[in-house]
Amino acid sequence: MASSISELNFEESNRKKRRKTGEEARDPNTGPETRWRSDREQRIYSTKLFEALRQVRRNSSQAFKVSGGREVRAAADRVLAVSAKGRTRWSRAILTSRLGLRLGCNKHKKAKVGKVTGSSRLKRPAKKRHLPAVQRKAKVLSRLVPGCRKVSFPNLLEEASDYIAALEMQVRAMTALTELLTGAPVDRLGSSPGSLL
Amino acid sequence: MLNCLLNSPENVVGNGTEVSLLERQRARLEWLDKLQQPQQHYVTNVSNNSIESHVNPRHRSLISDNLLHGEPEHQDDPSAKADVQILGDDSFPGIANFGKELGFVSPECRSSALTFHQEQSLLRTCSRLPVAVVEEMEYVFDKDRLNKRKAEFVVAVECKDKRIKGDAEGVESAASEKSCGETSQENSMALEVQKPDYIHVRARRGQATDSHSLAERARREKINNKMKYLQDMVPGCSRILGRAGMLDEIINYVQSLHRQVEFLSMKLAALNPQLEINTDNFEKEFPAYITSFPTATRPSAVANLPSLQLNPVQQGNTSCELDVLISSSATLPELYPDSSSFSKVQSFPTWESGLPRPYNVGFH
Repeated sequence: MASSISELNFEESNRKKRRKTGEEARDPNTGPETRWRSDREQRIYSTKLFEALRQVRRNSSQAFKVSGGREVRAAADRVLAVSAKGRTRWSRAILTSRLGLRLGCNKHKKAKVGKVTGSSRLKRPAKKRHLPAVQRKAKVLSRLVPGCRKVSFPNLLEEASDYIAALEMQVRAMTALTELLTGAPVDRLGSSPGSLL
Repeated sequence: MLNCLLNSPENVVGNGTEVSLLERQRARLEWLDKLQQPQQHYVTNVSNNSIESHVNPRHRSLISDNLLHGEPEHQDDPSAKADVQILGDDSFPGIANFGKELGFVSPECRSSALTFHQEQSLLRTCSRLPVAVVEEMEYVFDKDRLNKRKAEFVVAVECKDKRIKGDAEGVESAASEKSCGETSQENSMALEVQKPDYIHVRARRGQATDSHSLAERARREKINNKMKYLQDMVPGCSRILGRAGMLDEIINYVQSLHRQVEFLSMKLAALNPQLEINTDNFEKEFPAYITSFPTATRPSAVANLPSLQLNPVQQGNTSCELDVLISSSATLPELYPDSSSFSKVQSFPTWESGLPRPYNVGFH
């Protein structure tokens, strides 16, 4: 864990330095699509992901607890955020939230869920909630994209587009990785692949 | 009867770029004062009413009270601003050195010569007017032509209310744009160049010219651009037209991507013990992997990735070449000095050579 944190800090400091120059020298022509779809990005990501996964496995094997999907997912998201080089809000939010505030965030989430399903909501006629439809959906979207709760609508759209591109790349890379490890194509719906070995 | 009105309104609007213009106007006014003292006429009520009814409150400053109410004493005011300058009489047929100014003759004019003083850009764009170099301009207008000009001026006034600072050229440009539609672009360009320090926004025809609505429109355009971009990214969103529907699709897509990541991470977690084992075996089993990978069925967003076609150069690479390849990407080298637990450095590059291949094969 120490090595991962040190690696994270190292990358973060690099990112901060790079952010100042990166944002100014940002090429307006390279939108998020081209950035995340490039071959190079995927290779970078897969490399880092592989390394992070090995570290997770190494760390979890000490306590010998089964590293559930949660750990892997968190590691994958973290590596994705690092690959984003800190230019986007969601990547920064992922990285800052990873630094130990997990418990607080979970509690906060549970409280929110409880509020929504309160009985008062069910009694009140739902007509009023339907009026600002776009705003409601924007709120839902802001909850999906990490770190974008109090962001204005156009910025939210921009963050969402970058996040979608990054997620697509993440899915591709992880699929490739699992294919490589299992030696067979992985269907999205989860059918177990036939073994080739 | 000739009705001419010498306009010298007191509210001078302008910035530093208009200083020369003001000086010129001032000079002209003084000159005209000498000439025109005996002759003071007023705009007819007809023109007054028509203009008054259409003129924006903001433009009232441009079209001074002289024009609207026909008061004579303003012309004694030496301060110069000539948005509407109506000169004319046969007593000064050869008015020279009036610079770039615009003047409008009141509708009721004599058949005799009337002098107009127009903006040079206006002259350029107006086919009716002889294109004269700045200094001397005299034109003869018929009554009907003047009426037309007035009507155009009136319409232009209400359409072109966009200058943040009202200025002399605003009215002129408005009139010119209405009179010569196809060259309005050129005119606006010419005028815009003169005021580089303001953001001039042209209101399109038929649209509200309020600053609020302009801001609204800019905001809406920004949002629409971003929605279009998202529409391209999310598959199946192109057929949906409303903002709410598209947002629904986007939300669904993000949720599906999240679910995929969850599923894949669970799978990877199950495979994790195999990570170290597999790195040892990769070199032997790459050919088998490669030949046996069928094309994967991926969501359509993943399928259109022409950029994933890797160059076949990598196929027979040794590890040192791959190191070069890896180090060429800017962020990778930082892994190497940092991770001290890199026990399998040798196998890592060779494993890396295998990784691109499934992309090549599996993502068509």
